Order: sequence, then structure tokens, then C-alpha cells
Amino acid sequence: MAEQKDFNSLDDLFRKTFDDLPDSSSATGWDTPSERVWQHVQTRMKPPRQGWTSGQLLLIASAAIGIALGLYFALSRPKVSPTEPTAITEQVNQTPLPETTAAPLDNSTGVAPNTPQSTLTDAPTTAAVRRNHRPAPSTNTVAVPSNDKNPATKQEQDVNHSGRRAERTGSAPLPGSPPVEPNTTVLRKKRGAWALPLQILPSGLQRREAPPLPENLRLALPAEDPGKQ
Amino acid sequence: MQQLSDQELVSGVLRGSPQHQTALYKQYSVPMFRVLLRFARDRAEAEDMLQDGFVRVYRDMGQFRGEGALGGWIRRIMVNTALSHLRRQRDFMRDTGDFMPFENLFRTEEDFASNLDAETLLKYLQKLPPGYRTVFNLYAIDGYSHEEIAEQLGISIGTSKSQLFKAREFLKRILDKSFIT
Repeated sequence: MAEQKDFNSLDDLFRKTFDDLPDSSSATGWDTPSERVWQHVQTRMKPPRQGWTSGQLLLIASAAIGIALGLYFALSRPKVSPTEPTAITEQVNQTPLPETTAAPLDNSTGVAPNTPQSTLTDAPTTAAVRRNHRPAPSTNTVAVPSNDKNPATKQEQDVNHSGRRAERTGSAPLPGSPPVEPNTTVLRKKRGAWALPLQILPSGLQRREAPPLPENLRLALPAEDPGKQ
Repeated sequence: MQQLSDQELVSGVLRGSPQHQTALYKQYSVPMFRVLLRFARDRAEAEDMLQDGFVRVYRDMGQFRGEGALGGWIRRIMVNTALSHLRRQRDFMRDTGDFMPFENLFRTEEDFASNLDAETLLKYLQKLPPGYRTVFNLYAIDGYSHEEIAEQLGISIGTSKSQLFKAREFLKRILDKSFIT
């Protein structure tokens, strides 16, 4: 009991001694820190935040990069790569002439390819190609490779969609997307390919020995044409 | 320079005003240095604690809600800073057994009797092992409970009580010579 009282007195002694100190520093200077402390505190203190913080700058930079990438891909994606029109043109050029010209004889008109009727018969097909910017499913036109089982129906369904997109962007369809007709450049080349065979068609057919025309069709031919054959 | 109110000091420091930062340091550096001298083993260590403590004060000034006195809030930061310093020391809470370095504390009996002031008591405290000194400071002067001390220092309540008892024993044997009967 007496020891506890001594301890309490001891605690009180220290508490009161240190709590009752005057506000001002001691004359001896034992409770005054050196100037070095304040100098170090000043050097370690961060200046107040002004302007943009690094986090805000990082966020803005990320957003800007994202927007720039989005715009880049959005604007560059529809562009046709330089190889695609060439490939399609090659396909057009590699299409056998007899197949493209002989088909109207059998199915639609039955007119000889070197007659004016054959030219007239081909004209609407070419116009249709120009109008729809896509090869017709019939055998009259150049066939663009397609994976569709029913190209005609599929193309009719997609004419508005893909036709508009092709006209607007001139791009080739992405893998897995519905087939899109060639763009204007390809069509122009295709028309050139059509015009060339039509002009040389008679001689080509001669060399390839086209099937003889029906009798009634021969009668309808102009008089000067048989001389060429 | 006229002494600024706590609210003015806080708002000025939050604005980053160098004048208010200086005023805050001048107003609280001495009382806080006295607190830290009790926890430190010497003046140099107390100055290191004071430096770290004021950096924390300026950094965390936005957390001061104004519910109590600014001096009390700063003092808690200083005590926590001192404890952080002490916890980093090796063998901080090592029990020193029969540690009783009475010799060389006083030159003469007259010197002891006439200098029983804060500076002298501080000298006694700084002679204590860190564990004794810290527990005695927290319990006897700063008013912490043993549970709070145990939580702050990461020790058991029994260890806190043991360290306090040994610190008191040491100080009592010094002061028995003239003060406590």
C-alpha cells in the first residue's frame, strides 16, 4: 500500500513537472530544438498541389490515346487494301471467255454472241452490274467467288446493306460477313474486261469452235455477218 | 508575431502558406520537443522524431476535423512518431533485468537536491532502458492504459505492467534520497 502510494507520488511528480512547464522555452535551451530541424522539415514538405497531378495527366493521356486509336481504326478499317482489287481483277481476267459468253446463248436469248442482239442482251446485264455494283448470280456476268449456297437470294437480301456500304466505303467484306460486291474501282475494271471480250468475241468464238446456231437464229442474222464467219 | 488561432493555422497550412507553416512550427515545436525528449534517449534522437512528426502534421493536416484542440492532435502524432522510431530499434522492449545505473547521475548531493526540475527528471528518464522509459511515459505522464500500451507497442499487458514496475523502482530509488518518504 505504501509502495503504491509512492508510485502514485512518483507518477504525479513527473506528470506535474512536465505538464506545468511554461509555454516559452527554457532559458537554458534544453527544450528548444535546433534550427536544423525546421530546415529539414521545410525541405521534406511537399509544395501545395497546383495544376494537374500526375494521375490526372495519366488519365487524360490514356483517354486521348484511346480516342486516337478508335478514330484510326474506325477511319482506316473500311479502306480497301491495295491487294484486294488486284485479286478480284485477276479473277475477272482469268474467267474463261466461252463460259461468260456462251451462257446467254443457252439460257436467256439464244442469240449468237457476235450478233447485235447478243450485245443488246449483254447490255442489261452489264447495266445491272453497274446498278447493283455486284455480280449477278446468273451466268451472264463474271462470277465473284462466294460461299453462299444461294447467292441470288443472299445478295438480294444484302444488296441494300452491302451495296450501300460498298458504295460508301469501297471496302471488301470482312471474313465471315455477307458477301459484298466489288467497289467502283473493281467494277470499272470489270467493265473494261467485259468490253474487251465483247469486241473480240467473234474471232475468239471462231477459234474455239462455238456450237452451231439454230436454224431460225441464222435467219435472223444480218446479211453481212455470215461473211465474217 | 501575433499568435494565430488553431483554425487560422489549419486553413493556412492547408492552403500551403509558408507563413502559416512557420507559425505552426514556432507555436508547437517547443512543447512537442519536450514530449519527444521524454521518449528519446538523447537530444539528437528527439530532433529526428520532431522532424518526422512535423512532416506528418503538415502532410495529414487535412485529416484534422477540428473536434479537439490542435495541440492535442499534434501531440498524438508526435507520440505515434516516437513509438514508430522506437519500434524500429533493435531490442526495444528487451528486459534488461537488474539494470540500475545509478552511478554518475549526480555529481553531489547538493546538485541532486537543487535540480529536481524538468530537465533533471528528463535526465533520469533518458537513463532508463527504452522499454521502461516508453511504458512509464505512456502510463504515468500521457495517461495511456496498459491495454492501449500493449496495443501500441505490440506487447502483452503483463509485459507492460512489468516494464512499468521496473521503471518506477528505478526512479523511486533515485528520488528516495530526498523527495519521497
